[in-house]
Amino acid sequence: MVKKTISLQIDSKKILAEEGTTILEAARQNGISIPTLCYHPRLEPLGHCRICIVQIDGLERPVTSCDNPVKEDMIVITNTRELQEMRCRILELSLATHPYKDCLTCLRTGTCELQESAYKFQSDLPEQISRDIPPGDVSDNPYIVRDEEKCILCGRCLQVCRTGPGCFVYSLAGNGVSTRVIPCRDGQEVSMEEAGCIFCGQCVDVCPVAAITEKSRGKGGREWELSTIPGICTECSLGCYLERQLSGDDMVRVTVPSEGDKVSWLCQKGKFGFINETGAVPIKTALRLKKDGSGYEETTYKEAVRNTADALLDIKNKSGAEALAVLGSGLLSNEENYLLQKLARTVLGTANIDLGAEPAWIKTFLRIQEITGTNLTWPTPFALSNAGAILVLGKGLDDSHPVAAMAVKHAGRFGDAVIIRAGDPETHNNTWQELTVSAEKDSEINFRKAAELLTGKNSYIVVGPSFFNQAADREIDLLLKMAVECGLIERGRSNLLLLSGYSNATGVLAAGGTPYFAPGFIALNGESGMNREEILAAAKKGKLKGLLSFDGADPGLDNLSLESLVAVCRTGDDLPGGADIIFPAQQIILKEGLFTNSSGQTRLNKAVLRQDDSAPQDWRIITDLAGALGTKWSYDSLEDVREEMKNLANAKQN
Amino acid sequence: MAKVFFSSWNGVVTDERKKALEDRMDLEKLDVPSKLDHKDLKAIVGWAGLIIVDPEVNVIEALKEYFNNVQNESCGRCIPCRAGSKVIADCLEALTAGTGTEKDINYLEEISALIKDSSLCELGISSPLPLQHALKHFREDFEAYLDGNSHVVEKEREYRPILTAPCRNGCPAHINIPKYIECIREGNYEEALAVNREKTPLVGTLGRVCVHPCESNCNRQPYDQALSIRLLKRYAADFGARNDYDKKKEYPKPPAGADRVAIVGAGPAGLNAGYQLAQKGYNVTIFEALPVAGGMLAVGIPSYRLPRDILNAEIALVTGLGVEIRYNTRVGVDITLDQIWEEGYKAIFVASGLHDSATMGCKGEDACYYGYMPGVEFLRKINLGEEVELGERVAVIGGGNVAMDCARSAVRLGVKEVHLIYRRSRTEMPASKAEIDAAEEEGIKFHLLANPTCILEEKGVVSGMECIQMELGEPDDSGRRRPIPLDGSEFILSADTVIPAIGQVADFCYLNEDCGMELTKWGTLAVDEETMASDRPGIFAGGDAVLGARTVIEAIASANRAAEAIDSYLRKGKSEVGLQVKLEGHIENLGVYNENTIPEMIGDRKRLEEEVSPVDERMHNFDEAELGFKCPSAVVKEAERCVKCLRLGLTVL
Repeated sequence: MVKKTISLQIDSKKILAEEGTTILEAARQNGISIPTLCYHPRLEPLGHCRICIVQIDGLERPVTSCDNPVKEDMIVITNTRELQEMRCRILELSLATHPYKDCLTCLRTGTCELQESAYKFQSDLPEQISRDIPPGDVSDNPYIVRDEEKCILCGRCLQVCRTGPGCFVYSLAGNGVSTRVIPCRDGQEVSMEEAGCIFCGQCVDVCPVAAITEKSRGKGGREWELSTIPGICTECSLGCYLERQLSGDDMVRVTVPSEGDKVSWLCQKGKFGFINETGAVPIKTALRLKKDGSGYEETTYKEAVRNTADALLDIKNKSGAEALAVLGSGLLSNEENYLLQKLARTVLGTANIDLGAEPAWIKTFLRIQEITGTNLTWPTPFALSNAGAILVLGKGLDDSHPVAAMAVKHAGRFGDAVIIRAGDPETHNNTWQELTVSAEKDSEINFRKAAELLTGKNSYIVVGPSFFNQAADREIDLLLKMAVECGLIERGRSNLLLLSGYSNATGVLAAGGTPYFAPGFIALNGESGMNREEILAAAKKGKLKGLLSFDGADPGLDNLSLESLVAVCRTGDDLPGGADIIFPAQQIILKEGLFTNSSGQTRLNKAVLRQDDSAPQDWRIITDLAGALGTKWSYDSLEDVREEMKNLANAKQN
Repeated sequence: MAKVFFSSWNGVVTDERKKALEDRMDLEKLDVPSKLDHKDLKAIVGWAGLIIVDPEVNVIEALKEYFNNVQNESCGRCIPCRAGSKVIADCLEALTAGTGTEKDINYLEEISALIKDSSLCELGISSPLPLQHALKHFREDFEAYLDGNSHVVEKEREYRPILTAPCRNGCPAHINIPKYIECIREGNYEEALAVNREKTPLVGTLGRVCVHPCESNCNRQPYDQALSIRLLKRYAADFGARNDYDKKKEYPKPPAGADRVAIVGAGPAGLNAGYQLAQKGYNVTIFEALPVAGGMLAVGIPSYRLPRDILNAEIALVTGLGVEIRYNTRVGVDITLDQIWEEGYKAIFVASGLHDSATMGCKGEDACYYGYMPGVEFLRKINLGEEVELGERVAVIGGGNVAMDCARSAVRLGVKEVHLIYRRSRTEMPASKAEIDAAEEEGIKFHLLANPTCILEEKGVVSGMECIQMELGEPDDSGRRRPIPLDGSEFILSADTVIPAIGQVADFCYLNEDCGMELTKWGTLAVDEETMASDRPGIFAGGDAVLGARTVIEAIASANRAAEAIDSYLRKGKSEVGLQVKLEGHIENLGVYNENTIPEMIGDRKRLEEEVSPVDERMHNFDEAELGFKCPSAVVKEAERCVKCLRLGLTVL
């Protein structure tokens, strides 16, 4: 729908703005700044603080600019003596109910928005107004700390919890200056978790002061001294962008980047994944199985590499390369995936390599690419906010891909979307449901009904991992046929968000980390190897003799009767029973590498610290193994690997 | 006779302070009742100014109490109101304690202006007004405190605050409209539903059929259009229904030995009373003459306006609370009132409605011609799934929603020619505009300013009506212009079916002389209008049986009052409603919507309209014709138009 253009005047400047734009936005678009406090660019305007008030010609009282849309021929004055006076007074009232003496030791100093406003207005320090607020921090969970005395009741946390995860954790309790923001369930004050909090941490990200903070932030450090390192989350295939912040060598916070999509979200895994709740001990050195098989003992990295190479070569000579296999992990970067498949295919000589991507997901991905071409946009979760209809295939998205689930919920409750769910309805936090389609029974009829609802709107289909785990060719055919008929797939565009259960699945596929495709999507056809399921089945039967797995925590590795099992593990909890050699895995925060998310975006994850030389980087393990197996690769840095990958891609195009 | 000492209410200043008592203006000229809860009204401090009756009222103390209450009601979202009202309250406290200074009085001026000009909602915007008026007209009272004395020994005063809004006040049941609209604005549709459920289980029903007096009180009207309050309510109900809101909740039942209350009639009043009484812990039995519950909701309003699954789910809510409904049990025939007492019921609520058709005063209407069918009977038959034989030319008489229901139902039953005859003009038609427009769209022919004088027949079968043209004269009691027949303008309208739908009357067969209940001159049950108590102890009544043919929401409001009074009667032996209800009644008289107190806003924000099924699709079936709101983002935008006109009133007794 085409939006009208409105012409108006702000501070004697004639400007044009699209219908529906707020006065504040229109002013900002034209370089006119209006002070704000409760306003946040990623949220719908609240209109709570009243600082953004402006004068409108013809109206006696000023109005808030953040939540009033522009009107044709409106004349706005953003700055008069009276307005400034009022804004100052209002801010002073807010300061009067905030313990500003705590500024001296507050962790938020330097980025605190109240402090910043007081500075801009050069506020006087008003007499404090007493409030009936319980003092002290509330810390009922490992992640988030609340200090109610510092709360300025801007309302952002309430709103972000409603519109982001859709959890409605917070409520306002009490009245007047003693109003509190508290986690609530059925009208009772409860803990965050009892109130339904999923610890996505967005309330922390939007709080303008230190009323809601990360517990980990309590480690200290001045805001302006924190180093900020951009990165990507590897907990699921959504690969959300994030930023890691350190105070010295300590990770104190993970947050969303301030640029980019208007709505950026993280989930508990992304925001708080770096917190080691269970106290699992990380593995620091290489390990080997004790002679009596009773456990593991330390060994040197060099020995571990040597022993691994010997064992794998031995199996290759005795039983052939087809008795060897390589499995990967979502923590491996695109460069590492490339190197690992190179190790498997050109050094070990085996085609049995699966670095993490479901066969059904691969099929669906590539069949869509056949229609769209390789140069296409895949949807981001945030694009779903504007959807007219969303079909969700697959269950359990709340657990497997929380940010996608959040986006769907948002679209159903606040957007224009008709939500169609296939399979059972989600157990909590239902949104507007038009239809629940059962994927098992009468697939064709139900797909037809869903297709009717998807046609003619800005529609999307979200496909979750449980679909890929169960889908045979027939289901994939139906899905694609419907998607094409509804106009969701065309040259250059796909409106299907394919969520693999494997992190960085897209990176794995492109780098050649699946048994079916060499790097650059070159089909291997007759030369393809076994996938993960087949590899594990062959190992159980004794047909596979040697396995190198970069995901030691994979439960499939237990109880395999292999001659040699070499695993890369993160913590002591990950150790599979019966592995011969264990290598320590590199932490994602220390890894530099490219990762590709479900929206097709490739981003560099930068290491927050330089890796300690005593622990090997993942990519070094691969090159060192190649060397020990007799093939010396000469990569000085990851940049060399990227060069090689790029040249290969260019060669393919030509 | 109560007199006004001083008033600044609604922009008109009446300063009688210098006059002798007998020369002062009568209080009733301000539409303010002089008593509340049997006590004399001494003053009102509120959103539209001050009304002082008793010269000894300490205005400063009253204002202090007022601002303490503003602080109590301040939601906390905006800085000016939540902090400003505290500052004012503290300042007035200091003043009355004798520690105030001249600076403080000036500060009161400044902070009042700040709150008035920058608050988020009307609570903040309107609350400084009485203070500003007091500073202007009672300055000396403030200055009297500056001598350091906290003098003026204060008499024992009772202060009764009430938070209201024009929409909320306009609703007969005083549903907390600003609250549920705010919940919808925040995407909390479930909470919006819960707010409505405090008053009634019939939320989806009201969202479809309520006449929404709230909307006529909406302060946006002078600027653009009223909020679509009814449809927002419907959206909350429909959202809850789609997302199994009730399946996720537990509703406790009353204890086994609890006092039993009998209700006559399972219409909206009976159901609502049962709903409230069950939650108060009573064992309720509703005696219903028909085989279905819902009263006129089930057998009057057709299903294309109120789908039966929506209604039945809401009735199931009531029975789910433990309320028993005994169907096919007509009180007066299958069981008498005496027998109900003998069975051990401790109180009775009569809500039998008006299920008989009013007569037109037209020749031949009593002759039982074939093809003559009262509208109430016609609708009942089709709603109960009974056989109805209509001819090819149906004439419906009347201009209210019932007449529209009859005409539009006839269309849906396949009648090719449906005529509507109404004695006044289109603007006087009581039916809602949407109904009238839809009826016209469906091809119903309107004959306005016409009235039948005689039913014509051939061999006992209706063949038409003799009608006469009317013209409009002076207004009658209802305020509408009286229709006057024009001599010599008679005409014949041929028809084979005549359906009068001009009004309803009661069937009080079950009331004998001993039952102790009186009838009013309009043939309805006489009860106290606040407690709904009849003269017979233990018998209460509500709904159409008391009010005449009125609306669902008024029936619900009467039932809620009755439930409170019955509860009080059974626990304390005295039929009384709670203070909140009394205050609401008081404020109803005072009025809240007023052109002098319309807040300033930016206008030209259009009201959201609902989807309506296309006429050629809807005319041939009884599927729901009006489809409500579909799009959440548009719903939220509509809710954002709400200016939140909360106002605080404080009565001083």
